[in-house]
Amino acid sequence: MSAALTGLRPEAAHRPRTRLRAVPTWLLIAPALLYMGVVFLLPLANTAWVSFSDPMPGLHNYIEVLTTPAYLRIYRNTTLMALLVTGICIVMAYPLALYIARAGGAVGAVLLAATGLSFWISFLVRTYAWTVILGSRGPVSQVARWMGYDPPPVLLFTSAASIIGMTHILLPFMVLSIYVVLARIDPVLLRAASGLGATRGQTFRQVVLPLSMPGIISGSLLVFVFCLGFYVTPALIGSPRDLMVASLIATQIEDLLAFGTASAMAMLLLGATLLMLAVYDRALGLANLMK
Amino acid sequence: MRPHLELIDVSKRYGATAAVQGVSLSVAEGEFISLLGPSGSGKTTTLMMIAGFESVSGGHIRLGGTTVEELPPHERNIGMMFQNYALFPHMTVAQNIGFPLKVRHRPKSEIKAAVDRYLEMVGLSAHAHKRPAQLSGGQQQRVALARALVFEPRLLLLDEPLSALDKNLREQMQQELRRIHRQVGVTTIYVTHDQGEAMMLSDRIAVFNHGRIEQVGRPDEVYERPATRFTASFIGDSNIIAGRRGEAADILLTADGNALRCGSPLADAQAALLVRPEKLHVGDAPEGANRLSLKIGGVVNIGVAAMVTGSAAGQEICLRAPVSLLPSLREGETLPVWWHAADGWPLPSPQE
Ligand SMILES: Nc1ncnc2c1ncn2[C@@H]1O[C@H](COP(=O)(O)OP(=O)(O)O)[C@@H](O)[C@H]1O
Ligand SMILES: [Mg+2]
Repeated sequence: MSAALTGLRPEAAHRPRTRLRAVPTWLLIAPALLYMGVVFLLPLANTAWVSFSDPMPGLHNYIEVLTTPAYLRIYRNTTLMALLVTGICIVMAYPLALYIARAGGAVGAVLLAATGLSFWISFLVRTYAWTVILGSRGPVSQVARWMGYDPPPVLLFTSAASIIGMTHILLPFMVLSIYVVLARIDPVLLRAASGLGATRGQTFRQVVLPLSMPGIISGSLLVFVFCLGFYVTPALIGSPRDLMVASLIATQIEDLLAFGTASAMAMLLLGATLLMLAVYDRALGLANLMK
Repeated sequence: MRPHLELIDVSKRYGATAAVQGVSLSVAEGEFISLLGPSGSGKTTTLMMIAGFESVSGGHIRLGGTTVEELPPHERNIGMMFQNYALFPHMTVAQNIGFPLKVRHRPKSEIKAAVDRYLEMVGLSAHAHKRPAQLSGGQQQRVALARALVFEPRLLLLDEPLSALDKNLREQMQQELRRIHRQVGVTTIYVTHDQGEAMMLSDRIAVFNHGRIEQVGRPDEVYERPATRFTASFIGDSNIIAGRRGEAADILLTADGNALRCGSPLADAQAALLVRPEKLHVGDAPEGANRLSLKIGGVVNIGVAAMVTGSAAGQEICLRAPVSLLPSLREGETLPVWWHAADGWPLPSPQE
């Protein structure tokens, strides 16, 4: 609320001040700001600087990235993978979120806890689990062999493995994003729709789905942005031929010592991410994400 | 003529609780009927069973001559207005009102015409493109009403629609409901715990108590000729004088020895009579009238009259005395009161 408005309200003006309020706000948030500045903004500024200056000043790093077909293919590939993972997450998460929201009570709480539990298992561990599951001696191959596919299809170290792994790791974000919105829908609205003549399908399409859109969008944004910069999972179980941007950047630094090119690539990735956030903000307001 | 809606021995149990017990009711086409009763008496449950949101535990519900208790709500064609309006927050006012027609796959032009007509009826034409959140409580309620009527339902159900509104708005909406009911003519079932509201709006009132209907009748019938002590005391202010039936069946003998004559014979040996406060007079009784002497307990000037409370014949009694008598009404003194025998209505013995 603006200062002018609070000034008009006597009870706000006369509110007793707690001792904490005597400390200026900037002092309270100073440690956080300092930390963010040192570990985040400084390196970011450095990366931006390197992207324009290494090995010589100018836009040549950006021009190189944006004109090299191999690099562009990787950006496109990354975007497609991210879109695919986002899409799969929506399709898989929605029914689960709907079920949790409908079940409520103990069943809902258990399912919700199970969904949240995966946040506590390191995604490195979860990614390694896939190397076992998808490996040539893993259960998937065994089943394929049993069904007569011999040799069984290769899954590990393919883009499919990346997609499976990333979907697995990011699914809980989508489930929770959608669940939060679904749980807030007043059940009386569903009764009202039914009383007004809507079938279950119509109630879902015309009431539940539109009202859960903010959850789908915020979940998609999270998953998509995560995917764009995902490094560990594609690097460990993905295809070495179909790189994603993060792996490409790592290669530039570790193998080629091309810091300028790598920085430009990172800045472009950041730019794409910020663009996504801007689009989301236009559509729904970023503040909604915080609720 | 067949009744439009029939409840036949309908009951509903939730585990061990019997929310509704053997309710039977016939409602004629176009009638406005109120379900009136205290909180927890089973009114909402009855309404929910009619709408199809609750299953019946026993009995039948017939609408337009066919049994509907097996039909899901969306196949019953009943308009319901919920207590908190239940408007769809993501739709505009016009989309909310058009919803029932849209799900019935009516052509766009027809939907638009109907929405415009009902927007006009509830006086919200200027707000068609607003979201519900941008409207006041009273306006949201009108949208809910228009939405419940736009598909020309066979029945309109209203569950305490005015209880959330302040007094002025409530009275205004009562007028409006009457007007709209006259205009549309839809058979309406109106749940309320406010007896004044029920009296003012209804063609008939069904009085609910403990999951049962105590009485069904026109407002003047349930007021002047209540069938039970509960109805007598729930509707309007009442003086109920208990006693036993005398030799003559229309005489009530009170415990302290008064013999009071009723307008008609008492049915039970342990009986009571009802006399409304406005029928009690102060002063010398004419020939043949009932008389009591009232020990004044309290006097309140309410402007148009003096509300006098006190005790007589062992009962709490209240009456309205002319304001001109105020100077002579003092606490602790006795006051002669009387009423015409015809104004005493016999009540049965208390149930249970
Ligand atoms: N879903 C329910 N589960 C258990 N008991 C219920 C339920 N709904 C209503 N009841 C009980 O049924 C009785 C009637 O309730 P209700 O129909 O809501 O009364 P009213 O609308 O007249 O206030 C009450 O005793 C209430 O506690
Ligand atoms: Mg109720």
